[in-house]
Amino acid sequence: MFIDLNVPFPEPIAYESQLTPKKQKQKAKSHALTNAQASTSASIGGAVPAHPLERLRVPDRKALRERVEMLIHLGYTIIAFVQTVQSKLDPATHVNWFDGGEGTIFKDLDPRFNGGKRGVVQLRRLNVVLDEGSEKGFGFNAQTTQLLSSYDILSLTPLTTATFQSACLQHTAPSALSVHLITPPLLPAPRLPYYLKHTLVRTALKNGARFEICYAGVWDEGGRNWWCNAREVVRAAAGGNRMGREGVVFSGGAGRVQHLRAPGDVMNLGVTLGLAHETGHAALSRIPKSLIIRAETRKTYRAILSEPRLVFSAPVAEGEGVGEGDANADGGLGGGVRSTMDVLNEEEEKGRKRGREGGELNGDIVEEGGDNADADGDGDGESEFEGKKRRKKRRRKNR
Amino acid sequence: MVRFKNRWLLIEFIPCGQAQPSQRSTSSKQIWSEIRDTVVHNFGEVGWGAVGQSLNVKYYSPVTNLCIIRVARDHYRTAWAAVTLITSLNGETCIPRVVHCSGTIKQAQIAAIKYDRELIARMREQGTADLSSDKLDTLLATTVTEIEALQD
Repeated sequence: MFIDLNVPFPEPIAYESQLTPKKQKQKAKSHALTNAQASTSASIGGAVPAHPLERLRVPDRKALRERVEMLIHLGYTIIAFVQTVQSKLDPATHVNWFDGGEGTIFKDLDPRFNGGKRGVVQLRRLNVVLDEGSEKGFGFNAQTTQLLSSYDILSLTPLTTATFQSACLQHTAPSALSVHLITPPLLPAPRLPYYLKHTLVRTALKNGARFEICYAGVWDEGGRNWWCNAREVVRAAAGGNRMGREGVVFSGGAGRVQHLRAPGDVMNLGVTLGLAHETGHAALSRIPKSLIIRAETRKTYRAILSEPRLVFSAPVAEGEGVGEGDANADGGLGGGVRSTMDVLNEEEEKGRKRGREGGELNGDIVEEGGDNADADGDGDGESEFEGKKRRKKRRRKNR
Repeated sequence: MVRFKNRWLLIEFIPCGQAQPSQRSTSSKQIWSEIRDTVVHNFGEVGWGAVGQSLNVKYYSPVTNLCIIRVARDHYRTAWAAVTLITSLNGETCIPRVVHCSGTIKQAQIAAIKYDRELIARMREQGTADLSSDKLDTLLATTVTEIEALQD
């Protein structure tokens, strides 16, 4: 099972009716400032198409599909589409690019929806680039909680010392807005704009954040800077014997098809950067996997995976009543976490099976009903206890 | 005496970009010089000094885009990284992908034949217009014999 947490999503066409009439000009202005490409995409009136793909231009849509199919061919099983926001998140004008996709983009390529055929699980990620303008806060507060809960992963790209500090210290603390991925800018300068201080990096790692290296930068302008900075990130986050040397995640970040690479090749690049061989493997599989599960805990209270319960071994009828009530409560809270975990574990198993069978192209059918059955089975005390134990075990494994 | 040890890399150059196959034919010589250029560009003269002596392109099939190269074991990761960093071959964009890495040519051959079968089965599934079923059969037979004929 290999994971690519950075697949840039092309910018959709801006529709007027997506915004309230008052904010139109602001939106257009901010777009023109932040993104040069946006100037070409004048906002178009009319109804907003429901599906995220229909909001893209046709060539973009085709290119994106080509990229996703190539990722499947190269052997990835989970990817995350990225929406990048510059400097600040404005709750009034922010448009979620993935709205209306029901949690995925290509339904026919997602094993969660296409009946367990071969494909990739597609997640949604928001990346905020922090510059001087965002030192006084960039919109991660109580007002935007609702907005941010529709993303699976949040990440930050700090460009200044102050924002790097706040990203490592404040924004990695477990909450509904906690950030799980920090992407230092590798390309623009031969040195990172700040020193990766040990205390800051350690705090971020302790809180469960990871540092990301996007390999597609090698081919961009400034490939030399990429090598320097990536080495620096590896030294600071994955060097020494700290936190099991597992602070780095490799991901793509490739805007074009020809910049995608197979997981094995990326691992080898990691070795060239000075990472141990098996850490390089973990940086593409185990570490991002546990990161995804940890990111799911944004939806629970203080990052607790499931709520602790008392189970009485008293009369059967009473036990049943209590069990049912609890099952309902749990479904609301930890249901999302569990279903993602199930998907991840199934993916891993399938990957193993595929590896054993060799040339088999079609995987087995995923048992989508698995987690539902589990939730229903929580009715009587005995199986509930077992289920909890199992979950506990799984959790330990996923750490 | 200690034996001189090698690594054999089975590489697939996945073509991307233009849909139609072009008329340009890439030879194994061109692959060798392409790898040399990327090694020199990314790892410098010293890197080429470590790799160049033993680098050898043993097999390349322009139809299936499979390639087997040999490098000395000490520095095979340099060569591998250089292969990964290649973006175009003979003017065509492609994605190099190391399918298998082994210590003897025998295992490289076995992996190559296995992967060759898979590729041709995929071609058959997609139903390429200019390649009929018989042609694919002969293609499979010729590639397998070619790979089996490789010598150390």
